[in-house]
Amino acid sequence: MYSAFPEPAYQIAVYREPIYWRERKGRYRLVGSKCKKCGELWWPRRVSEVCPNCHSRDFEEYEFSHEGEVFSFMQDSVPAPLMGMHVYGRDRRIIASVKLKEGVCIMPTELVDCKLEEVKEGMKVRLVVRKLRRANNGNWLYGYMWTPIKE
Amino acid sequence: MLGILGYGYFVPYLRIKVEEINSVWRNYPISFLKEKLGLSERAVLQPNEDVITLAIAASKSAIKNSKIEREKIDALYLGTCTNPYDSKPSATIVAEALGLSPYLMCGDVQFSGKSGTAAIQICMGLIESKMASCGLAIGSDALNRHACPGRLFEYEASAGAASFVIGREEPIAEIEGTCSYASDISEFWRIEGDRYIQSTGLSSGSPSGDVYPMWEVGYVEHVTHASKSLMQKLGLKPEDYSYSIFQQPFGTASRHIMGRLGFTEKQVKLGTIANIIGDCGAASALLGLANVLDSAKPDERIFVASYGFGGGSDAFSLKVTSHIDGKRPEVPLKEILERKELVSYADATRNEYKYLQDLNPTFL
Ligand SMILES: [Zn+2]
Repeated sequence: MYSAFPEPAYQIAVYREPIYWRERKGRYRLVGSKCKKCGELWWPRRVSEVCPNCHSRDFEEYEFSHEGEVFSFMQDSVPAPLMGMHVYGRDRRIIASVKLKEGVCIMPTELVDCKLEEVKEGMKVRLVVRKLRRANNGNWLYGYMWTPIKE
Repeated sequence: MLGILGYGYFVPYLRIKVEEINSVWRNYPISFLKEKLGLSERAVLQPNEDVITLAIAASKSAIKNSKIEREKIDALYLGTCTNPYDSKPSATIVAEALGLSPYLMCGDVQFSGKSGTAAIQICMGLIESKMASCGLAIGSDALNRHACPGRLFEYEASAGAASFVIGREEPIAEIEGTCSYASDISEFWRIEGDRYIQSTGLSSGSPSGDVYPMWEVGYVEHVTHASKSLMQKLGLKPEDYSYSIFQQPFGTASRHIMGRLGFTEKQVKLGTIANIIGDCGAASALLGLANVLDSAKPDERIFVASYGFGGGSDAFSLKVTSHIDGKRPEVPLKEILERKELVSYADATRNEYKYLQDLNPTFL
């Protein structure tokens, strides 16, 4: 590695690409789980494939819709150390929790390409894939973020 | 009928004015940058953007606009010369993020500024030979991350992506023909492991004021040969085209080349975007094409000629069909270019990873 792309943060050397790789479909396009018997949806995908409602083990992949609305939001003015890419200058990030039309709330992540003044609860947003971080000598990690739908 | 089934585009949200860059370096007169080169602003990447994220955003929109099911796409070629990985395909990340079928012919294509049009030609070839039924050709570049601070290239190096779905069923624009011209020439380059794109020294007789290296033997010669031979092959004249789009390393590039080929200001105007956003590399000519398709009417002919330093040119002749209505993107490119936030030189430099930092910032 040459010094032009320094690592965002030093971490204890654990090879983590396989863990990230297993969750790639969820990170790139919100693929969760669906119980084939009772229709219950999960995000993120259920790793232990037993449905707590009907105890079925019959699961399938379910791709959630890529559009939703802002459920709640906040501004992160003091990013925690080791939060990955913040050392590249992403301070004052807008963090939003998004409710999809399936009724599922997606864990808070960044709302990009907009100013804080423009953000309102209930604002329509769309999924975008952005670079998340680079872990200890590993590859670039990409994942979902949100951007306002402007018409 | 082989043609474009749908298209999409994406440009970064942040911009920097040439005056702002010049206030730091003071190395070129503003009048030279604005009038002679026709530059006003260039795009700035956010730390979380690169060629892959730009390509995904453009392709999502292209697949949606083409109204075909994504499972039908069986070829994907990503054209870029600023790949985030030297040794790993970026096309697979794009394909996975788009949810395409894994039974896919895919790969990265590198021919500097004409990588995007080279990807279109690959898709055309695969479809014509019936090896694929529907292909996705992407031109995506982030030249600004590889532009050295203090060089002229820093004023024009921008970023953007344009994506085209190529297929046979009901195209919005038929591809009538294509012709290429390539030869070995070194005016710009980036050696493996190098960070910044470099260029040869100044050349004399260049229309951009003796600064664009080897303009005559590079850009002009290649684009002229490819364009003339395509028009000769198809038996068409410049007057037959309603629009013509050329590679735009700077804002006035298409105006310099149009006279030599017999095109007029009127034909070139709509496809010129570098005066707004700068040099988008592999997406440069394709974003111009997207801007023209946003308002082109059926039966109009479009001429496209890209140029990649190093060097080669791809020329295309397109004819818009009646299927274009209803398959245009929701938001026209003109409006997307207006949505922006201006940043300072310090922010732009930091975003493009040009400030070096402690390699081991354990606790900050
Ligand atoms: Zn169940």
